[in-house]
Amino acid sequence: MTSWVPMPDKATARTSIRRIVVALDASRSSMAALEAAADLAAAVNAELAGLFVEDENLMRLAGLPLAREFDRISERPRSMDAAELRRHMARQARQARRALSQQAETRRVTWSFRTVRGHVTHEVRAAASEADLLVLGSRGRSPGSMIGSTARELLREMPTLLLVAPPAGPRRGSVAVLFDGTEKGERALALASDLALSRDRPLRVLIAPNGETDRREDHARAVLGELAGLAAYEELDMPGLRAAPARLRARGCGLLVLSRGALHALGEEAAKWISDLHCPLLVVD
Amino acid sequence: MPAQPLAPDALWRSCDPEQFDFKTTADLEVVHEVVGQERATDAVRFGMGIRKPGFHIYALGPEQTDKERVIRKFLEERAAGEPVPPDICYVNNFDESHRPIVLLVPPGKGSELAADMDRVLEELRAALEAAFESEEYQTRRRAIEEEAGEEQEEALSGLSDKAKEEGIALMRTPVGFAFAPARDGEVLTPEDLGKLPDEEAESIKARIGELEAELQQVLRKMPRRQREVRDQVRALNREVAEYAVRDLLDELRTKYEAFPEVLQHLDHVQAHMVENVRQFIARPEQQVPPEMAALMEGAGEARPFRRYQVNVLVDHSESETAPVVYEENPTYQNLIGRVEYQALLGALTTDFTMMKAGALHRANGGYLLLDARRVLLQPFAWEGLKRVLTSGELKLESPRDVLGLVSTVSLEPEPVPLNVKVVLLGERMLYYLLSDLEPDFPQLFKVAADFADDVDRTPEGEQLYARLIATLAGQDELRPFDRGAVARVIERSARWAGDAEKLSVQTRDVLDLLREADYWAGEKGAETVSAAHVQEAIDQWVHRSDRIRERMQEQILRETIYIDTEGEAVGQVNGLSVLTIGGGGFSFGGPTRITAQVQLGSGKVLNIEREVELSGPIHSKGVLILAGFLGGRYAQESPLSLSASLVFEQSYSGVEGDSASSTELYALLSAIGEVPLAQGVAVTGSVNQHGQVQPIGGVNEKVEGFFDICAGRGLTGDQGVLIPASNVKHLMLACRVREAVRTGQFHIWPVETIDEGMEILAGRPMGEPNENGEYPEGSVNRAVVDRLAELARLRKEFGRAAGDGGTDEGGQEGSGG
Repeated sequence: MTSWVPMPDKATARTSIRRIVVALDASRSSMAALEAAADLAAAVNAELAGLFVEDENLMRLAGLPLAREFDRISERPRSMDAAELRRHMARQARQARRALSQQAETRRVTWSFRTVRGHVTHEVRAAASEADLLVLGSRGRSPGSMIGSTARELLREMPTLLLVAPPAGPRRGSVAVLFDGTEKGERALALASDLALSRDRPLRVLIAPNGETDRREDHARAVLGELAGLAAYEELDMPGLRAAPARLRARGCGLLVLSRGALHALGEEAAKWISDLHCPLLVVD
Repeated sequence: MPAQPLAPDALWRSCDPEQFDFKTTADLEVVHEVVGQERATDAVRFGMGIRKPGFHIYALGPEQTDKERVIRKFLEERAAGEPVPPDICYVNNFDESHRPIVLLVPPGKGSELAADMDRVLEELRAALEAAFESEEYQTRRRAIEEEAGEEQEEALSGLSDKAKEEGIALMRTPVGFAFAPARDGEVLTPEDLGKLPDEEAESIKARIGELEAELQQVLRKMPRRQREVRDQVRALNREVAEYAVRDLLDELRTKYEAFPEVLQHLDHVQAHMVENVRQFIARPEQQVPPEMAALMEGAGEARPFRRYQVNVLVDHSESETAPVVYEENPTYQNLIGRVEYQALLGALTTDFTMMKAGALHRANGGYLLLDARRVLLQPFAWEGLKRVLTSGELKLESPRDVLGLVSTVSLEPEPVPLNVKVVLLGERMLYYLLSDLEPDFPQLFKVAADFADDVDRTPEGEQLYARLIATLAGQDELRPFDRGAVARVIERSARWAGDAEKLSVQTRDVLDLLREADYWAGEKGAETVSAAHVQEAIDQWVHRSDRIRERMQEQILRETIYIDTEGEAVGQVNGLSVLTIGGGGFSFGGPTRITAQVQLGSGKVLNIEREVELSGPIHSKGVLILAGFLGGRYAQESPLSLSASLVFEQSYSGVEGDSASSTELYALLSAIGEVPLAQGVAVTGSVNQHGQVQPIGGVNEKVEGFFDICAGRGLTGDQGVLIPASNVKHLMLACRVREAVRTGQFHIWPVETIDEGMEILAGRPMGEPNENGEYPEGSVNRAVVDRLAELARLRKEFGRAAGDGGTDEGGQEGSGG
């Protein structure tokens, strides 16, 4: 199945995203990630590959004698049954596959789906190495309510592009890019402008603080070239950067693109910063 | 000695234009007072002055007197000196929304308050959105939520770390959490576990048991913690909202600090806004699907701000005086006000913003004019008006609620204290009917302002009347009327009054005449209206209304209806009657033949009209009076031995009134005495038992009606009309009659008694009785007495021949006594 959407050649040429892997676990967060991935795949005419990982550790746990789990709601212990867990996982995989096929087919995107068994992080990482872009939900199934452990880990180490989608982000809206003036930043900017152009959305360039304040807008304009006039520019100071998630939400931002380095200024706060975003985040490396 | 016909002067009381010292009405001063209505205006003044319950005014009098204009003018003059009443506003009752609260604020403040409130609401949304979008709020809110999340995460990750140290992993399962023995992040397989020494396996098992107890503690805290979070968020929302709301409302509080009721309302508004702050920040389009939103458009749920609005029922911001309201269409709802409904998803809903003022709201603090007939014709309107006036408070209830027929969401608004003076305008008949039949009416409408139909025609009266004409002409922007025209209008007015000594104050008729005269003046291109134009207007009006009169005259002239206007006949007289047709009040007179037949009998006068029930009671009474007269004059010594029958020839509808009773008596006397009567003389007037002729109405029309018939056939010079002498002062006859009288072609005889009339009709004396009670030979009385004696003799013979007159005796006694 191929996309019928006519795309500017430039978009595919400069970003060269051909294959997008989306990690699915049937959680709400991963469904949002799927939607974001499908949108993106349609926009850049890429192939969408779904991945469902059957957690090896969980299977082992269920296999242990006297294994029991504690119900989150009733806080009561109940014994674990390997067969039941397997059925549960198979059901989740079927759900994920159905969701993927629906999303991809409505957008006429080529898709594939596979289920693997192993350690989640490991398998996702392995799949990502074969792809140009990895997409996953920001909130996984790990304890706690902030950004999921898998996402956090992968965010730190993934060499390829990564898109993290919040549980329920706005479907449409402007494309924003956090530009830090580095080479990777230029890539992020170019990708953002391509996406904005192909999706016919306004582009907002946020210029990250890193000491040398002036002339970076000119830099950004230079990168954008003939598209420079179409974007809105905003220079951020440190408090501005911290408040950016709320601002982007208020302005109806539909996608934020940034290079991994752009978040260095935030240090430890970066994970929380990402969890505050209400729009999908595309990290470029 | 027969009565003398009237001189031409007596037929008409002209108005001398020379008595006026103005040239045209443009020179005249406008009359401010009401002409000729002292009684009514005094009553109105009294009624308006007395501010006690029940002293409402009923203005009674003929339609054409323009009561409405007069009273309105009066009321407006009085209202000008009175303060503007407060504005009436309704606001939501936040405790019981079906009972809106009334706010009375000084004039103009109501609409101001409503506008201020709208502005506050507009700003409030922005202010609240800003407050809730603000970073400070978001930070605080996140702090609350994250604190809980972090606490939980910390507890879990603490537990996880603690477990890890002991080679145990905390894992997330599809429904919750579980602990598993692990090594380097890998959960041990059963085989690995089996390889462990027993003690270690036991120790791991024991550790897991301990950790599980701890996990349970952590999980148990979660729901309570979430509830705490919700409470804290709610408290935060309230704090933020209160700050924003108070800030905006304080502005209004300062502005309206003199009005405690408004301040109280603002307090309620603030409390409610803070309590329901979610409605301001929640975006309705996100909660409701668009199709539903379209259906709910305008409904309370979709427009939550409605309940803070101020519904200004009565806005006096433009008023300068106390209100004077005339309600043209006094339906229940137009009087009391109404509550409108809106269909929402198949149900009817309403709220205080859909309340609409009635005339009583608008007139509160002032005066309300209503047409009595219209109020009575509208269902529930009279009952509603009565209830409101009796209770002294204006309660907005729909008749449906009053009847309790349909149950739907409804309102019970707080009543408004009522301080209104109601003036009902209506006919006299309605006033008397209401007084008689409606027990509450006299309690509520204690002041009757009785408008007169006419005024005395004195020289001063005529001068004032000229000014009235000038005023009416001026108000209507008509051409000025010259002296002659004014005099002609005054003469016409006397004719309307049906009395040479009165002038009609039915100003609407006068105004119509003035307008028509002005039109004809315009047609002739005249600058001022002259007598000729007035005459033209009168003639044209008659001409327009004249068709039926012409048809009836034609029937007489073509002898389809038999009326003799020449010669003599026995037992036959021309009576006169008046017909009024149409709304314009056009009336005309015409002759009717009345005949009498006499035969032997027991003294009864048979009224044929009554036998067939075509006679009204007054007419029947008149005929019985005739029997009384006959008995009194001719049957003092012997019973009346005749039976007479009377009939209105060619009359096919009812006969009413006693103005033909003298005519009937003439016909009867003629029939008894076989005395021929002149047919060229028509008769009108009622008669009493002593034979005195009494006045009747419509004398002018009656005379003219007979004159027109005679003139149509050609005047003989012997023709005329007998009128009661007491009607002479009412004569305002048309020019053509006056002219004929002046040249001796037509005569009008005023008569005081039947004897005078009979002498004219019969052309011979009645005859005075001599000392023996005998009447002279050749007199009318003699002829009558002789005939009666003859009839008595015949009857006696007849009685003897029959052998026994027993049955007749009773009848004689009855009629003789």
